[in-house]
This record gives sequence, structure tokens and C-alpha cells, in this order.
Amino acid sequence: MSFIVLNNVCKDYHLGKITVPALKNVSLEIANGEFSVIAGPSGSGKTTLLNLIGCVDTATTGQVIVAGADTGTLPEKELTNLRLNTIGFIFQTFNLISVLNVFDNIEFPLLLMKDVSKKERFERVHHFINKVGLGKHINHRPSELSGGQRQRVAIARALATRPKIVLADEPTANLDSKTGQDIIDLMKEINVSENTTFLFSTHDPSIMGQARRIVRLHDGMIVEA
Amino acid sequence: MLIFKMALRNLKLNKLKSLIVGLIIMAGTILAILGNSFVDTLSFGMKKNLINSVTGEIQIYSSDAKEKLSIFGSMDGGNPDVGHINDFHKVKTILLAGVPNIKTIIPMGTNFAMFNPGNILDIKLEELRALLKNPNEDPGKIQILKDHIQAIVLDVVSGYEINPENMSYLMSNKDFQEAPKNLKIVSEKSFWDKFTSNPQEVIEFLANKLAPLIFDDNMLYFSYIGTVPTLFQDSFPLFEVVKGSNIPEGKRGFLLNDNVYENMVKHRVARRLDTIKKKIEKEKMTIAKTKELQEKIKANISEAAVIYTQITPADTKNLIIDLQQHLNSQKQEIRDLLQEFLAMDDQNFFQRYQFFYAKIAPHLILYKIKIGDVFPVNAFTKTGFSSSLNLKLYGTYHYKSFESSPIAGNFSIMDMMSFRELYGFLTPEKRKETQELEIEMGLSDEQESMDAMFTKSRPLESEAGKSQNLKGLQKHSMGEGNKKRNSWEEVYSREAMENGVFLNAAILLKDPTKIEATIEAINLISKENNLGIQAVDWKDSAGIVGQLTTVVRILLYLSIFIIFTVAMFVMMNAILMATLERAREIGTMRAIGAQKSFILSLLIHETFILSFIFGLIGMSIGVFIVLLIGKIGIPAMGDVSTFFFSGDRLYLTLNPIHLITVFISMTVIALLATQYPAWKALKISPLEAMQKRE
Repeated sequence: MSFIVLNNVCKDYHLGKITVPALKNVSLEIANGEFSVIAGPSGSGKTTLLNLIGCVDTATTGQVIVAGADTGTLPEKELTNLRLNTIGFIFQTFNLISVLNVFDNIEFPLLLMKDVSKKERFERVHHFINKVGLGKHINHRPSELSGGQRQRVAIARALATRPKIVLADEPTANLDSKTGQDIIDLMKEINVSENTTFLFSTHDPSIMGQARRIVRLHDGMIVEA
Repeated sequence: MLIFKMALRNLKLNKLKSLIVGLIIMAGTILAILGNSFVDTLSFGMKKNLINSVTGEIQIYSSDAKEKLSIFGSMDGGNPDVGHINDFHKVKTILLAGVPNIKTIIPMGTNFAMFNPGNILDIKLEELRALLKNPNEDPGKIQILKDHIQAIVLDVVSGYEINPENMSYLMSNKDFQEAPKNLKIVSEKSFWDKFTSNPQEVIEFLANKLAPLIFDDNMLYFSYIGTVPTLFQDSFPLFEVVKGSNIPEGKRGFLLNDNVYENMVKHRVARRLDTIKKKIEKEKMTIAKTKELQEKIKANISEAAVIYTQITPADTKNLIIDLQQHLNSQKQEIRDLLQEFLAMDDQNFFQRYQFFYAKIAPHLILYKIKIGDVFPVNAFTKTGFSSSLNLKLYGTYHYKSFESSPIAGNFSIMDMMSFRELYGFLTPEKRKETQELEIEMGLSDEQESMDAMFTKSRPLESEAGKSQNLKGLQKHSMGEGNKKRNSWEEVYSREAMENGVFLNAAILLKDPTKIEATIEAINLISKENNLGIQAVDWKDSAGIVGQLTTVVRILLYLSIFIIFTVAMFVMMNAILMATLERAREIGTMRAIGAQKSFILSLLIHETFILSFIFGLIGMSIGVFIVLLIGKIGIPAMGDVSTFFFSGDRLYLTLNPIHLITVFISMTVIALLATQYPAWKALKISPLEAMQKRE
């Protein structure tokens, strides 16, 4: 069974009295180890799809099954645990915790996990810091880093918990093209070396071309999968 | 540790908002520490003052009392009906034997008394009567007094001629209708010629017809405690004789409260000048700017007559010269000169004050009762009859540390024997005296008449003949009768003073910390031995005065509550803003797996850190201020506050328990203020992290 399964998922947003359909009857499966991209123009439903898979939002109708659990039936506490243990997030705007340095930001989700020892935390953080090439910036605060460096920290943080899947919502949108490419290269490398599933959204054609699978959305519907 | 680190850094990041919240916590802590310390000090001061001046730690009174004991009077200003207990000796013996913690028991009773020394003409006529009784008296001295009397009378005449309305206060009085006729008589020379040939007739005419025309507000009222004065002095450490001496052991007598003596018995003009001086010196008032002082100056000017009518014509002549020089004035009339003199201002006040005491006061009756005088004290018995006794004024006293405060009763002190007699309990002497009077007046049924007078409220009109005689008896007891008996010379043993009726009694303890337990023991012993007493603590016995600090404490807590509520909302607002600004960060934490409890914990940590740091700073500042005021003191504003301040300044004391409670309260308030922002923070969705903005 695929790690992520979406069955006839619809998601509506309500703007006052108007109902705006963001996803219409979407069905999709993502298997382990994929390096896939969700493509489509702005407003096509990319972020909504990622939010549903990332368990930060729930579908209006249909089923979203993550790691075998129907997210629509889970209480919030368990959804949070699911996010912590199964999913890694990389945000378009990096979303680092401003008051923590690089090490602490990466360690943060590990501290939320109760079963990771101090030693293991230390090893994992250093492993991923080195992986993203920020060994020299370990004590820097986010404000002291460039955009690309911040996104590397975000990748390390997303990977630290050893998630089954990393979701990235337009991870290169706020970066210049070279830095963006570096980030994609890093993700590809990790996909292979750590066997981590990557699902990210983008509307940048050059990045789309590097994915092994493209899920194309248009007006909330999958037009290519 | 991570939470603590994050909380600390968040606070640092939101410096301004953290500072606002922190300063509120700090200010609240300082305020609460100061407020509590203030009320504690007041409360402690009041307790010390009351226990050491009149109430003792415990008071006992009749268990059948109709009203609660309130030593300083009830709300209506009267004394509550607390009944009485017949045998002090029995109560004392049983309590001392049965309650080991009792050190001393002081019998007491409170009542009101009146004394009317009469107006200046009454006084001078009385002096003349006394001089004339002595056949060897110096005729020169008699003449000076006669001249003085004539001057007083002629001043009344001229006052009436200037404006008859001056006597309008007599409108309803028949003296007023006869006034024109009588004033005409005294303005004729032939009338004064009779002063030599038939002085008694002139004296009686003046006493009966002229003296009533002089405005008379000399009546003195004072509340007093009947007790054993020497025992009272030995038992209450704040008691201090100011003028004269205490009533000697076993003697009957009176000791006026010095405050009453200075403010009610003293010459009106002099005491106004004293008050003005005190207000200028202590409260930094000025005559130019203070209405209260201007009113006093005005009152002095309008009452110049109470000065010059007291000065003999010969002394007046000298005073006119002195005043003309002092004022550099050409005026000839003493009245005009005195009015000019009394129109004081800030520039000349102290000079004139000195002049007043050096040149004018020696000629005045500076006090209506002089120490050493025997004077008739009029009071009411418990059944409402008028009673009177001649008593000697031995001196004045005050309570150290709140000398000038009118609170705490302004009680005067009377010996227990006289108290009992004035209150309507028969002493052997009084019994004998009334028996003699009754025989003289033909009353046979002694017991019945006594009952009517002192115990039962039987109407006097029930039997016409007897009622007439009773009225006569009453009149005797109002003073005239007392002339026969030199009650002030009677001497009693301590036992006789103590034994007998009392209304209440102060109990001093060996261990003052065991008030409650001792009260219980007393009440138990009273029941077992049928003593008919009940015990209350100093606070209850003091009535309204005892409740004053409770009221102050309630007001303090109320204002602290209001301030803290406002502070809580300001804090809440600041925390809320700081929280909402971090909405995306909170959303991110939630998205990557932080539970709501983590977010709550983070906010609570932030509040705790702020409370701890700023609470500690506030506490240090509060303690510093309390210790500083503990050294330099807060000046008392006005005489009333000296009672609570235990002196002219309040020296704050520190209670460590309050430091802890204030610290905890401030933390709780800060946590309460965090509740709403926390609730808002917990509602932040992880979706917030996905918002695409930078």
C-alpha cells in the first residue's frame, strides 16, 4: 500500500457566504522513496494538497490516508504526533524559530520527541548540519544567515526526525535560481542517501524537470499524475 | 531547558512589551508591599496604643449587657448600656486564682460629665463674695475687683446701646424683655454708689439680672473613665501626667485629659492662637492662603471682649500703653486696640503671639478650671437623673506617642468612688448624706426614695408631695447640697476603691500573645462561678475605633484590587500583542509537531520569568522604601493621624510573610493575565505556518 493515499478528496474554503473549491475530487497515491513535484499555476491547489497530506488541514470530503491512518478521523493530538513522527516540513519562507540558533532549530523537533536520547539528538543534529553544509554556522541565529542557508537549516530540521516523507511548499520560491538549484540538488541527494520521500510544489519549470514524477494540478483538479 | 531558553529569548526579543509587563509587576509588587506594610504598621500601632492606654488586652463586662461594650462610645456618640457588675472584689479574686495568665485587672466605668464655670461676671461676683466674707481683706483689692465688675457691666450696657440685636440670643428669655430696664438701672451713678453702702444687694442684682445677659458658652463637656487612678497609672505604660499630679492613692478627684484641657478649658483666644501657631509650624500653613486660619483670626477679632472684660481697669490702662507701642497705634480704646492686635497676619504672627503670652495672658483666666481647683462635676446617673459632686482637679495627663490625637476618647480620669456616686450607686457617705437630707425634708421611706432616684425609672409626679421633696433632694445633689460635704477630702483604702460596682474592667496579661485562650478561660470561669461577666479582646471593646484599621485594610485591598485588575488588563494586552506577533512561529512549532501543551508551557515560562525577575526587583525596591521610611518616617497629617501613627511620624515596619504573599499574588495575577493570550495562542493553527509572507 502506498504511504500516502488520497481518495476523492474535495476541499472547500469559505469566504463569507461564498464557497471556493480548492480541490475537486482528487485521488492520488505517493509511494515510499518518490521524488515528486506538484506543479500548477498559482491558485491551482498545490498548497492545499500539501496541507492535507501534511495533516495541518482536513479534507471537506474524501479520505486522506497517511501512514495507514485516516487523518479525517484522528483527534488533533494524534495528528500532531503524526506530523512530528512521520512528516518533515520545508516552508517557502523557511519558518525558523528566530530566537534559536542553527543547532537548536534543528534539535527542536527532536526535543519534542520523547524517545530520543540526548546523545542521539546530538549525533543526528551534527549529521544533518554537516549534510546541509552548515557545520561552520552551528551557533548562528537565523537572522545571521542567508536565504539559502536558512532553507538548508529548514531541510536539516525537517530531516532530523527521520520522517517518512518531507513536504516542501515551493522551497525555492524565495531563493535565487542558483541557490534554488543547490537546494533541489541537496534534496535529491538526501532522497537517495537517506531514502526519504520528497513531495514538493513548484511552478518553476526548470525544477519540475528534475522530479521523477509530476502531479499537475489545474483549478483544483489533477490533470496529470 | 529548551522551553526556558526559548522563553528567555522571546522575552528579550520583545523587549518593550516584556518591559511593560515587567514594570507593571514591579510597580504592583512595590505598591502591595508598601500598602501592606503601611496598614500593618497602623494596625500594630493602634493595637499597641489601645492596649497600653485604656483597653488592656482584654475587657470584661456584664454578660447581661443590653449593648456591646464600646469604650470610645457608640455610633450615636453616647455610651452603650453595658449594665454593671456588683462585686469587683469577687470577680478579681476568682479570675486571678483561676486564670494564671492574668496580670492585672483594672475596674472601670465610663460616663459624661459637665461643668459650667459661669461667665466672667459670675466669676468676678463670686470672687467678690469671697473677698467680702473676710473682714480683714485689703480694701484696695476689693475696690479693684469692684471697678472690674463695673467695667464688665458697662461694657454690656454699651454693647446693648450700640446694637440691641447683640442680645438676640436671649429673645425667648424673660431676661431679654427686662434687659432695657435693668441696663438703665446699672448705667446710673446712684446704682454704683450703693456698691459701697450695700454691696450684697448690688452683687445679687448683678448676678440675677445682668449676668444672664452675657452670652455664656462656657459649659464644658467631657467623657471620663472612673477607675483607681494610681492602679491605672501603674498599669498603662502610655499614661503620663502632664500638669499637676495624678489623683493621690485613696483620694477622690479628677484628672483632665491634657488635650481637653488645652482645647476646651483654655481661654478661647489663646487656644486659637496656639492652633494657628501649630498649623503654621507643623503643617506649613499660611494665614494668607488658609481659610481655616483666616476664620480663626476673624473669630478672635470678633471675640476681643473675652479678653478685655477679664482685665481690671488698672491693668487695662497699662495694656493700652503697651499695645499702642507694640502696634504703633494712636487708638485709645482697649476694644479697638485689641481688635487691631488680633488682626494678625503671617508677618507679625509670631511677634504678637509672644506679646500675647507676655503681656495679655497673665491678666486672663487662661484656664476655666485651674489645677488644684475644686469644682462641681455634674453628670447623669444610669437612670438619667442629674447628679453632682465637688471634685478637685489634680492635674492633666496624656498618652505618650499620641498626645494630640482626639481619637482614643480624650477621656478624663476620675476616682472609682466618685464615678460610682455620680453614676447612681450609693457609697456609704452618699447614703449618710441623703439620709440626713431626707430627715431634714421629712421623707421617711428611705428605701423608696433612694430607689426612685437611683435605680427605678418611676415617674416623679406619681405622688405630688414626695416628688416636690425629691426635686429638692435633687437640687441638693446638683451642688448646693454638696457644699455641706467636702467630698474631695474623703480618703479610701485601695480595697474600698476597688471593691464594689464597676461597668467594665481592663485585663492585662502576662503573656499577651494568648489573648484568645485567655478570653475562653475567663468566659468558662465566669460560667462555672456564675460571675455574670463576658470577656472580649481589645479590638472588640474599642468599638468603632477598633474597627478603623479593618476599614483601612479593606480600603487598601479594594484599591489594590482595582489597580491590579487594571494592571492585569494592561499586562494581558501586552502579552496578547507579543503572542499574536509570533503567530507564524507558533504555527510553525505546531506544524512540526509541538503539542498545544508545549505552547502553553512556553507562555507560562515567559510569565514566570518576568514575574520572578521584576517581582524580585519590585520586592527589593519595596523593602528598601519600607526600611527607609522605617528610619525617616512619614509625617502625620493632622492630630487624628498621630493616634494611628503612634506619634508625629509613621515608621513603617516590614512583615516577611507579606513579601511572600505579595510575590505569589503578583505571579498569580501575571498568570491570570496570560490566560487569554494563551487561549488565543492555542487557537493558532499549524496552517498559520503555511502563510506565504515574509
